[in-house]
Amino acid sequence: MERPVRALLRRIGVGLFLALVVVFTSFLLVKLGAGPTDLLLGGPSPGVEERAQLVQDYGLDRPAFVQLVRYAIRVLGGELGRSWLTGESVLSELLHRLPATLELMLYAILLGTLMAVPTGMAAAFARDTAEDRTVRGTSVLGEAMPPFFLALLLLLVFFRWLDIAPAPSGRISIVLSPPPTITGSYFIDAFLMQDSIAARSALAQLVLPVFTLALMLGASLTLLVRGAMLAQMDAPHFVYARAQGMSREMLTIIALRGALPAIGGGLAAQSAALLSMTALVEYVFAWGGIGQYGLEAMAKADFAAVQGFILASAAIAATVHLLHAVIRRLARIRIRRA
Amino acid sequence: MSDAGETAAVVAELRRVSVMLGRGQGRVMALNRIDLQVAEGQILAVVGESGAGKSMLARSFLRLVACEGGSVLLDGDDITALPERRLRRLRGRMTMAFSDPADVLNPRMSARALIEEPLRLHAPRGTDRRAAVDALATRLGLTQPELALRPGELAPGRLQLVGLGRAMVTRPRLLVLDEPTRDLDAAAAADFLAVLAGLREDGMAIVVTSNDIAAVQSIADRIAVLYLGEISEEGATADLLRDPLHPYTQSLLSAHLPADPSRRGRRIRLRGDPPQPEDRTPGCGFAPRCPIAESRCRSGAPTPNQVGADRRVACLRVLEGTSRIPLSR
Repeated sequence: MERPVRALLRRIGVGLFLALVVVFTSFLLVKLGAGPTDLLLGGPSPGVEERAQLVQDYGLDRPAFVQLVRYAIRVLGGELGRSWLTGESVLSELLHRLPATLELMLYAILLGTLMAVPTGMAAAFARDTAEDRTVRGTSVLGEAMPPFFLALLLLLVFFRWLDIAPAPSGRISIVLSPPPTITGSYFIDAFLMQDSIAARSALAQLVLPVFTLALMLGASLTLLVRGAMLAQMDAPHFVYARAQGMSREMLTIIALRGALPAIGGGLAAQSAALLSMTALVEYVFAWGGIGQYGLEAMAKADFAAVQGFILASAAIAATVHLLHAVIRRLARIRIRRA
Repeated sequence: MSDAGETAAVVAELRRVSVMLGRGQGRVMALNRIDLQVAEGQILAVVGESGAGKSMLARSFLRLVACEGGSVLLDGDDITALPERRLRRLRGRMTMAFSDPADVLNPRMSARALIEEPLRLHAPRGTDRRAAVDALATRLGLTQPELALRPGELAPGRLQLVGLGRAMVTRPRLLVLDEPTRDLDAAAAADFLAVLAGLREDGMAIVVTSNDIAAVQSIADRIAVLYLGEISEEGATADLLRDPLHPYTQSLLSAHLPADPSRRGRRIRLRGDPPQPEDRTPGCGFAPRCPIAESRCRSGAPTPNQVGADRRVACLRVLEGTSRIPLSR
């Protein structure tokens, strides 16, 4: 087999292994932290016989290890169990909500990158000037701000005061019905159905949550871009290019090309970790994605749902890293050196 | 050798140039009020240990670093305050080659393309770039097959010649070489310096930095000795070698093993480590390691004193004629 293919397969294998580790770890944590599960299961005030029956049904009288193995086998078979609250299959609930979350994350990553790369580059070129300090200060502030706080702040300004943003009531105006599912993105689906009212509403609902996440992501990414560019600008080949009298545009390309691996790596790491922020932002905007689902499940100790959410976030992180690895491999320029 | 510089026009000049590095608490003075000139057809060697500020000095000539004070002149024009955009147009007239060409040359370009590239930036339209590169390669001793090779396929000495060719191809007025022989073995270094000496006739002003005074003394018209960002001593090569006046110059020269073994034992050993700018103490920068330092050396910093017609020495004892280290070992 070709080397790149083998390396890729190995990466997928590692990803699967990590997913298993995540399942085991989260199982144990939930087991330790959630308290007597039978009490939660039985509704407000279960009777003694009812509880015994539940314990029997769910195998809760078996040792934790046995429960774990049984759970892991089911997960491997693609069975994530049922939510205790809704009685629905966790897998189908997650799949149903996944597009909402992915849509948010994807736009936020795009917008955040579009904001951060030019800003970070400009700051690097203006090193130690007032502009640079402003960019740095703002970025640190943005990095330090909790996502839900920024979300509330934006809502206060754009919804409450200026009244130009729609209410945080989910993915589409409450008076409209969601478009039929094609891609899962309300905006794209409405657009495809040529339903301009629904499309506009879906887009308007997207603006604030996407902006919140993009700002959060962009803040740390800006600092990363700036640092990576500065490292390049101190490198001998860059000083040489300057000494040659290359134009600012050419110099920018040289530095950016050198900084790309570092920027790509940072972007991948942050995108993979973006789900935790997305969850909080979803909560504020009643977005109804897997983030909000996970948070609500946690608050109510809905065991299977929490497990499913953790597994989904691990899967998203693993996918992002896998994509990054593939892109990096495709982009790798092999330099022969004597 | 030294008479070439007396009458020729000054090409590049540093006037009381200071350079600061780092920021905030870690801000250190890399160069402290440097005065230096280099004239047409002249080779100026800047000699110093690592950390003395050689690279910063080399870059100051080309305005690649921001000066904290003083001015930089090229052909009499003050270029200190020029914006990068205006400087760019001058970069064919003042060029630089670095010590490690493998670090700065694009590994995917052929030697020919590398040498030709500056012409694309600076030569007027219609220039026969190919002919220009061929002519230059012949002078430098680079063969046609070598021109087709990439940096990774060339020996370090040959690659350094490519770096030199690249710096020369625009026929600059000022050519700065920052430690060009640092990574070369003795034979390759000697070859390279021989090529460099041959360029004097072109009328370029050449600045070459080195940490090895012995290596550059054969080609330099003038030598400036740099210590902790200050010039300890500067003068015509022959004078300076015959009678080094600054204690640091004397120790540098004594560190070089003489051909005559009977002269061994005259080596002046310096105490302490090569200095770093952040460890700078008040007074003379060399005082902590100087064998003949007095108490006044640790309080008052000497400014370079003119000694004779053509020599500057930054030592308090030089005016009394007591700056020579007694050889009483």
